[in-house]
Parts: sequence; structure tokens; C-alpha cells
Amino acid sequence: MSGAPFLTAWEWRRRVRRDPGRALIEPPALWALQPVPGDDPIWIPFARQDILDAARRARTMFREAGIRDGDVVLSVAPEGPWVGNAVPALIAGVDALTTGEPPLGAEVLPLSALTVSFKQDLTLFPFARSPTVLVGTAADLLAVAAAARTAGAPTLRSRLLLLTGPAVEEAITRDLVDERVDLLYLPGAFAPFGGRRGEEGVWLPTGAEAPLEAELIPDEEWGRATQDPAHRPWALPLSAALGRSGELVVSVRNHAVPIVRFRTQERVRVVEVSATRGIRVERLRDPQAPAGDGDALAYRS
Amino acid sequence: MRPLRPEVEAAPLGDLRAIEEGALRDGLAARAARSALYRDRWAAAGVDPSAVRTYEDLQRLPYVRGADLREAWQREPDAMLVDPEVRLWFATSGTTGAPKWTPYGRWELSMLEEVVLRDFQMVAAREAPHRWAIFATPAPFVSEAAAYALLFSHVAAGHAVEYLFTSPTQAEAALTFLAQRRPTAVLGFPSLLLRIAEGVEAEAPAAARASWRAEPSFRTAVGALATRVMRIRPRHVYRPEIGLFGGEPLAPYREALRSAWGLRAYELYALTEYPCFHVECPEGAGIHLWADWCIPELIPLKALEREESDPSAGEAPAHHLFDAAPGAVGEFVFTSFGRALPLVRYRTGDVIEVIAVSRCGCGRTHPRIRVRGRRDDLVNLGVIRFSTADLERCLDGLPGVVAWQLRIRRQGYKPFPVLFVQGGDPPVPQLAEAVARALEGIDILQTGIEHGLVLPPQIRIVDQIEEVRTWSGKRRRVIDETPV
Repeated sequence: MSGAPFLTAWEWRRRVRRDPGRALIEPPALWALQPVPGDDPIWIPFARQDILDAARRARTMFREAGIRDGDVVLSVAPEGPWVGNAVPALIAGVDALTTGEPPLGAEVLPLSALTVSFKQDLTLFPFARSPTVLVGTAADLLAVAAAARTAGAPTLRSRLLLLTGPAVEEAITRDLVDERVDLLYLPGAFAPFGGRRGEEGVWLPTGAEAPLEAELIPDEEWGRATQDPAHRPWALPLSAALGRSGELVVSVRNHAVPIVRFRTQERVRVVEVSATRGIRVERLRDPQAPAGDGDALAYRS
Repeated sequence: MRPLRPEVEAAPLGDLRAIEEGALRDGLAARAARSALYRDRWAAAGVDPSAVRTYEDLQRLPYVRGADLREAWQREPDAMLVDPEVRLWFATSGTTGAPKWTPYGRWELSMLEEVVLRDFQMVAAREAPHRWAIFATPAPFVSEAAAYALLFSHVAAGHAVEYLFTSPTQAEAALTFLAQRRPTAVLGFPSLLLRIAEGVEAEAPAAARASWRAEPSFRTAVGALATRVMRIRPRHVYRPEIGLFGGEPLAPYREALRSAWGLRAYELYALTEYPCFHVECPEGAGIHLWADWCIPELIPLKALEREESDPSAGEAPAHHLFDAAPGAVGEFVFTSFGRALPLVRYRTGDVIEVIAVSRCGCGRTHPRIRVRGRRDDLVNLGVIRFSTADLERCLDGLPGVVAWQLRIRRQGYKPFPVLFVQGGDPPVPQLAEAVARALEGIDILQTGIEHGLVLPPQIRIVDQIEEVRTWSGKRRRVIDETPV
């Protein structure tokens, strides 16, 4: 795999625009739009087996992220076709998609920032049910909280926040929740990857059964390639990049179309490598990106 | 296509009645009585829910309405659920009050998954898999959930179907992609799909030129040239074969959809409170009302009008929909077999016409209906709706307005509200302008006008309103002149 050229969002978009069908290996069940930080989004196909595999992984991920039996989850999702649109249905539907496992057992109240901007009283009932878990981007959750205040909803304070979208300052979400766990969407993944309670960052699985292989283009290599377009950057296996930061590169073993060495434009630091748990990475704020919610608003997963 | 589950979809009515009687014998009412929605109401009616074991017993139970549901959720939210194992919640848009939230447990989701599979099999025009483009309204509305129910049920069943879900606000991104990955089927609100068609037609020349600039080729050059000599419509670009349309009556839009998208349109009827999606079959002889998940009843129109004119006479009686004669019109009432919160004798407010209860040409036996409109005080402009109370708030008490009447007409497929205002004596100068300003206070109407979903209202000042009354003599202030 390491000999294969990198795939950029631009190249992916070009291939899909020319003829989406030609890129496919297996018939897709769904096409969804995947955000790419600092770039236009890309269309990703998911085959039936990709969705089933993602549901299996999502059940474990949501459990490890801290969702418990009986939790009331307020999930603020972007509109379709963004891939994050599936999260409420996925939390509610994993039990039906994956049999023979203990049920996730969560109750989901779905909302979108768009609908509450038109009708603020849509927040009243979800807030009155005192959700124990919030899921969404900081920007969307704050927009919903603001609409709820206007509608006269009770103040929201939840146990856990599963934060999608870009890394944000702790202060942005401190008023809403006791604890925060990050979720990370990667191109080709129908379900996000997640962190665990009490730890920063998200865990990427490793090993032969893992759905993806990850690499890192270290910052210095990324910098050289940015300054010199003729320079071809190299990447380290993530397992060999402990303590280093750079651009995350992923290869995802999807059935619809495998994604090979995709440059995610996601800047991360490798903070832990474990033989049993995988590799933990932390998202880093792009120092050139605008601070605050501006980038969070543009980022729809 | 042949039924997905012929043993149910083509079962004789007697078998469907047996399913209903079985649900009642199994203690449907006793289970429902655990909910605060029914407990006091049934006690006041002197009914012992454990004794409700037949359809005749069921008829002794009082009706519940949307307003009861809303009020009970606000009063006793913790005592509403019959089964606390809720998986998802969905809301109505709250056109006539606060949004109504409905709990879906595993049972409700399973029903939704099965009926959407049945519906899709029913309208599928070919053996090869369809590519569906679904234009759903975002959470917390049920149309988005239905999209995922479809996806997950097809994935679980191993069926080859391809989906793309989008919302009307993200339609542009989706349509650019769909121009390459052409859908064979679309699903959405009919008025929104037509609004999108208008956008496609307007944008086509610029989009074709941009496509040629981005990737010069014979194909893109022909595309750009074509926009100079012909009006490009969605049917030229996307070529879907079928469309499934819900959320508003299809009749005013059917022909326009065929012309713009080149598809065969099927009507879909569903409620957030009861996620059973009922669809027309290719015979085109009404919507099949799935009768194995509920007990359907009808309150005949005349009984409704008697109830309106004389509230002291009590509630209008309903009879089983299977016993209705073809052509019977009335309010649809149902009792669902749901687990999280069964709705028992729920008055939908929807006026339906029974087309037939006999076996359909497609082989299915479930009764066929047509949705004629709403009974409640709703100004229904398709996807844009508001309460008559909003109009009253704007117009009643406005200086110079003696009486008013709204007639909903159509220009093409678009709703065209015509407001007749009877002025006083002496006439108030510039009354029409004052009324127009007052209407600007209805936000949702303004949104509909701004987005091209509704034509701006025409205001006509008249000496005398030509009154229209119901059979029972009640004056009607909102008259829908849309042909059924």
C-alpha cells in the first residue's frame, strides 16, 4: 500500500464527476457527502456490507464513548446528503442491523439546526426530556441551545457530549455537558470513529480486521510539499508516529470502492499506540484556520 | 410488481378482520390504558379496557384527537408511554399548535421498515434495482427517518437498491451529482420537487456552460449547445421513471410533475403519529390503506356536519372502513397496534374518500382511498400551512374589515390564495394595502412566497362576501377550490 500514490480530495472529485459508476467495485446502497476540512466535500459510495460493518463498529464505538442503556440522546444532525445525517438513525438502528449483540438501548431525539431556526418550539419537548447525551457539532448544538432559550425551554445540562466536527475550545461546550468525547468522520466510513471517556482524541482500530489503515504525513513533510509542489511527501504508518503531528492519510477497505491513501486534510497528533486498543489521535486546530465557530459552521459532519 | 408479502397484502378482508380481532383479544385496550392519554378519559366514559375484546367493544371507547395528544404530553409527559423502550422520537410541524412528538419503539420501526419495503415493491417499475433520490425534510420530521428505514430494511434484507438522501436546502449539491448518477426514482413533497424543477430549468444554461469549461468534451459541448435551442427540464437531465410524493395531495401537481420530470407519480399518505406509509399501486385506483397494522374507521361526512352543528348531540359515530360503500366520504379514524403508544380511535382530521374495499387489479385487498383534505382550521397551501386562527389574528379587528373569506385557487400547480374582504360603510381608504400589510405578519406564508412555493395572495375588496356554508349551515371562511 505504501507504494501507492496519495489520493487527494480534488482527484477523487474529478473521478466521481466524470462517471461515478466507473469508480465502483460493488453496487452502492447509499451515496453520502463527506466533508473535507478546508476543501470542497466529496461523494462517497457505501455498499450494503459497508453499512453493516459500520453498524457493527458503531455499536461498540458508541458504547465505549459512554452511551449507556436507557440514555436519552439529543442528536443534532446536518441535513442529508451529509454523512453525519445518518447518526440519529444509526444510534436507533444499530440494534436492528446487528443481531446477536446486547442492544445499545438508547432513545434518540433527532433535531437539525435548520428546522429549529424556523421553528424554535421544536426544542421544547427534547429539552424537557432532559437528554443525558448530546451529539453534534459545537456550532449546531449552540444554535439549538440558543433557539431553545428563545422558546423558553428548560436549561440543558447533559452528562456526555459526543462532539462531531472540528476540534473546538473547551469553553464552547463547557456550559452544556460534564464530559466530552470526540467523534471523527473519515472518508469512506459510514459511522464515525470515537474516543473513550476520560481521554482526549479518537481511537482508530488497527490489525487485519480493522476497516482502515492510517498513516501520517509529518508536519515538516507537509510543509515542504506545500512550499515546493514538485516535492512528493512521504508518510509514516501511524503506529510509528507516536508523538508526531501531521496530516492524516487513510486507506479504507470499503466494498463499494476501496479508498487508498486518501489525504484527509485533517491535522492530528498521535498520542497513544496500543497493541490491543488501536491508535489514539487528537485533532489539532489548523493554526491558519479562523478561530471560533466559523469553521465549525462550514463543517457539516 | 407482485406483492412483497402476498399472504398479507392479498389476504381476504376476513383474514384482515381476524388480525384486528386478534389484537383486541390480546388486550390492546388494556395495554393502552396504561397511558395517561386514555386512563381518565376511558374511566369517565365508564369503559373497562380489559373488557374491550371485539370491534363492537372498541366502538364504545371515546375518540382521541391531536389536541388531546398534545395536551396530555404537556400535562403528564412521564405517564404517557405504554412501553418505555423508545428508540426514536419524531415531531409534527405544529401547524395548528405546538408540535406533537411521537415515540417509535422497535415495533413501530419494524412496521415502518416493512411497509416501506412493500410500498417500494408496489411501485417499482422494473426488476433491475432502482436508484432513489429522496428529498426529505430534516429532523425531527419523519420523512427523513423513513429514508433511513428504507435504507436499513433494504440493507438487512440484502436487496440491491441505491439511495441518495438530501434535503431541499442541499438540493443543489445533490442535483449536480445526480446529473451524473441518474436516479430512476424520486421521493419528496410534490410542490418542492416542482420548485426544484423550476430551479433546474433556470440554472441549466449556466450549469451546462460551467460543465463545458471544467471539462471540455463533445458531450459537455453538446450539453451547452442544447441549452441554447431548447428549454432544459429535469426530465432531460435526470430521467427518473417513477416518483413517490407525500405530505400534500398529489392531484394538483400530478400532470406538472409528469411534464417536468417525465415520471409516473404515485401518491403517498402517512402521518407522523402513525408511521405506516400508504401508497397508490400502478392500477391508479386509489391509495392502498394497509389494514393489517391498524383498525381503520370512517366517520361519514354527514355525521361530522351534524356533530359540528350540534355539539350537544355527542360525538359522531364511526363505522369500520371495510363496511363503507365506494364513494363514502368522511374523517379517517384508526386504532394502531403500536407498542410505545398505541393510538386508539385517533381522529386524524383527514377527510378521505373510500374508492373501493374490493380486491384491486394489482391483487391486493387492502382498501383503497383518496385523501380529500383536512377538517380542521387549516389553511393548506401544500407544504406551506397555517392555522385559520393566524388569519383571524391578522384580519379580525382590522379597521374597515367587516368579513373575509379565503379561496385557495391554483395558477398552474401553484397555490394562489385569493382573499375576499368585505369593506364597511363608509369604506376605509387603501383597505387592500392594509390587509396586505397585515398578511405579512404570517411568517410561514411569507416564507412560502419568498421561496416560490405559493403565489402572493390577491386581495379583492367586495361589497358582499358570497357565503359558502356546510351541509349543517356552518359558515366556511376558507374554501379550497383545488380540484380533487
